Amino acid sequence: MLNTITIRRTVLGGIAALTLAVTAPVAQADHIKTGADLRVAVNLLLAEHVNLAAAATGWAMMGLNKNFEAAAGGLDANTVDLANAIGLVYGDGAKEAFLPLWRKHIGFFVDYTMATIKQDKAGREKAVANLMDYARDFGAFLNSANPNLPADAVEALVKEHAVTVAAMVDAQANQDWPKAYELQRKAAAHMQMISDALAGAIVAQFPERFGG
Amino acid sequence: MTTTRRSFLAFLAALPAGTFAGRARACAGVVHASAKVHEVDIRTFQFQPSPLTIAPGDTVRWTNRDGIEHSATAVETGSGGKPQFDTGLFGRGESREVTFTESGHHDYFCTRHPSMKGTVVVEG
Ligand SMILES: [Cu+2]
Repeated sequence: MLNTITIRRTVLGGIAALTLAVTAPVAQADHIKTGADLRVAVNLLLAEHVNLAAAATGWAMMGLNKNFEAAAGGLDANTVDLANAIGLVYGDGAKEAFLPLWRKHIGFFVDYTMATIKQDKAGREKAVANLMDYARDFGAFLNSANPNLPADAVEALVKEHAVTVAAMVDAQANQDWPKAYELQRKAAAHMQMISDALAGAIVAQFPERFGG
Repeated sequence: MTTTRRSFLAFLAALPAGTFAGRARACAGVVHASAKVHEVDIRTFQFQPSPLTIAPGDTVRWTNRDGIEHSATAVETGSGGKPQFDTGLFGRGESREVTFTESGHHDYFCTRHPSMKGTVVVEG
């Protein structure tokens, strides 16, 4: 009995240690050494972006403000991690430029969600127009940081991201939860198109740094 | 490459007398014979270099290296609520110039991307 408890504690201690290791910020400089590290980090962060955004819009749709605010806080922490990853590769100036740019598109998704809740058709259309316009900005930003990323291709990927997430918000608004989760998974999986392209382009740009 | 030269001096001259009375004392008002043109690149949504220190009468030339339109627009407004200077939006490979005569810190931003900020410091 005593032995069982001891073993049990050891196993739990091991799990706790493992959990700590896994939850360490993935975008920290010393965690990203190779192209593979970079690809994993960017994929995790961008998929998490979709999943936290889905949580935030879902809670907002249910009128659960405390939950919405907590999810929005998690989403912004994810944004900061993404900015840190950009900063790791392109420096503090690029990090500071990326942060408000990325937050801006989240703001447009919040606008879309709030307009949907209020059944404000014009507000929804304006948010979609802003997201489409934003896609050009984001394409230009990544292309400027890394010429291996064609602005048009990034723009098209960001537009698809916006359309899929907007469709997911519509499903949440209709309380069609199976469809909402199907679209959430589709949106999260779609981010891999951006993540892999971004990580690959960075490795091509800095082969001596991330080529290993 | 398109280069539009807009003189801040001419802009000031067009303002009603007394508009900048409070700041006139800080301004040497002397346009140096060796007025320079200082280059500021706009790249990856950043004004570089910033802050940029220049002498009165010098010109700043912004060149956009990004594939999206940017502007360099003064934060401070003059009479009529218009920015003290505004290059308007301009695209990749294009340049815009502003000549500064007044000493002090001139903060500016991009109208399309208000989080993009820069400063020109006029000393002398
Ligand atoms: Cu801009």
